Amino acid sequence: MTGHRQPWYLDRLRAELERVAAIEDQRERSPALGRLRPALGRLRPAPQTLAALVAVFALVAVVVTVVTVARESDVERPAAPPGKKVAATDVERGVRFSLDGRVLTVQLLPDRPEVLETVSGAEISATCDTNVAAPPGDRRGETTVFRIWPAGETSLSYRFPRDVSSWCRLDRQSVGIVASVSFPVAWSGAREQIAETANNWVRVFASTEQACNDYTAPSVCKQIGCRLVGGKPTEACKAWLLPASSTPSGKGWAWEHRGATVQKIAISGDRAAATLSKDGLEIDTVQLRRTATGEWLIDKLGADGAVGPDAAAQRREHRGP
Amino acid sequence: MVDHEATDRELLLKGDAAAFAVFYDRHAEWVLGFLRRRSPDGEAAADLAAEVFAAALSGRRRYRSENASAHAWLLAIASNKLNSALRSGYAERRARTRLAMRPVEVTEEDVARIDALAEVSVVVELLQDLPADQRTAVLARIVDEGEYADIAVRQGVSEAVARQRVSRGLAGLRRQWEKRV
Repeated sequence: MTGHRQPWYLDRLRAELERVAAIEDQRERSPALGRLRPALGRLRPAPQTLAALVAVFALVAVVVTVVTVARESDVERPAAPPGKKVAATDVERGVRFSLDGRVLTVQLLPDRPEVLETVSGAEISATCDTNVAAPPGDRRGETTVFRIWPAGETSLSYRFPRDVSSWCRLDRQSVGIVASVSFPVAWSGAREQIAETANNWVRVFASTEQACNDYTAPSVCKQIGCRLVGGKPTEACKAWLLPASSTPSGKGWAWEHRGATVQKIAISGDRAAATLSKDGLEIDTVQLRRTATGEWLIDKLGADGAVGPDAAAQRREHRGP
Repeated sequence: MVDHEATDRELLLKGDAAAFAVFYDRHAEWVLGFLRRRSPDGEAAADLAAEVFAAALSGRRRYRSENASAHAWLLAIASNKLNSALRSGYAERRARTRLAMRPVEVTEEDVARIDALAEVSVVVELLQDLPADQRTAVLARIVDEGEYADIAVRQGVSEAVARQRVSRGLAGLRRQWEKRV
């Protein structure tokens, strides 16, 4: 192709493109039929086999139909949390974006026929971001959904596989960005809820030594093997807490959390991490998850979910003497 | 088996990996050269080229142009990606992400070769601006070193017309070149 013999960038890029193209090829073949082929090869062409084949095909057809219907109606996914509906308009382009959980509805305003002309009948992708705390240029939180915009239609909805909350844009491959908006209300609301939950949790924890409390999901209680019996923590809770003698102050880990507040929040879809600081020092991180009712609860303790005395010791090490 | 004589349009609409590889071979160098001359460095150009071909791979079956050559189509994708990169400061990754492509590293040696491509691709771009009959004749004569008699037969014209097409094509290239330098 190039006259160059040794592999260089374009050759390596070619190899990678061939790899993904082959995967695309495979993906586009019917997966159900693909699985059937080896089985069909093993079957003998006997009358009873033919009958079995007919039955198998009928079964596959039923299964495929059921799966398709289930996918289209989104039955297999948990329902999107009934979070606040938000909307924003790209005034320059005359495009209104409405976001309701995972569903983005795009409405073209009537005074911009050129936008309708741009999208009409073309494949228009909607890209939205979830990770509002990501640094500029970090695209890990982006999700893109591709749809053909029906010719002449002024509105189209995109269903995302996960919650999107930060900003959205429409693209047409040959044109570039068609319109874009950000939803500041949506995520500033989430940040407030997260901060409130984490601050409440640390206050209760610091005063009662109950890491598993009203602001945590049941997963936290399981994580630390801690339960509350008659309002009091079990021995497992105490095992998780630092022994009083092991801290320089002679007081427990819970005590060290007293006065700590949320300083940093990172949100990614229905998950978030809140960093707690005290006297200018980061002392802990808690991970939160948004529940089906839209409430944020602490789901894990620690930045990586590590808990227990060892994790507490690690945290102390990270903080230094 | 892929027909290496197939047009870009046929290769794209065929849609399989082997056909796309042939298409890639035809265009990879000029696309990379085109991007290099408009990008701050070779690495940025390589990053953009990967995104351009990922987008072309994703959109190959949607090639709607009646034009047998996909040069203009690729140029539109490349320009679009380039403009987006110039606006945002980094190359898009959408098409590559969609295909779950792995990053392809760029070595220092690659950068040097990419820089060299920037010069070569000028000629390729200028060729694309020529009328099709002149372009074919110039390529047949200069690149393939064909005889005028053979070129004439392949183009279904007299040898004199074939000579005239090569001559006019080269003159056109010279004019365009002078405008650029």
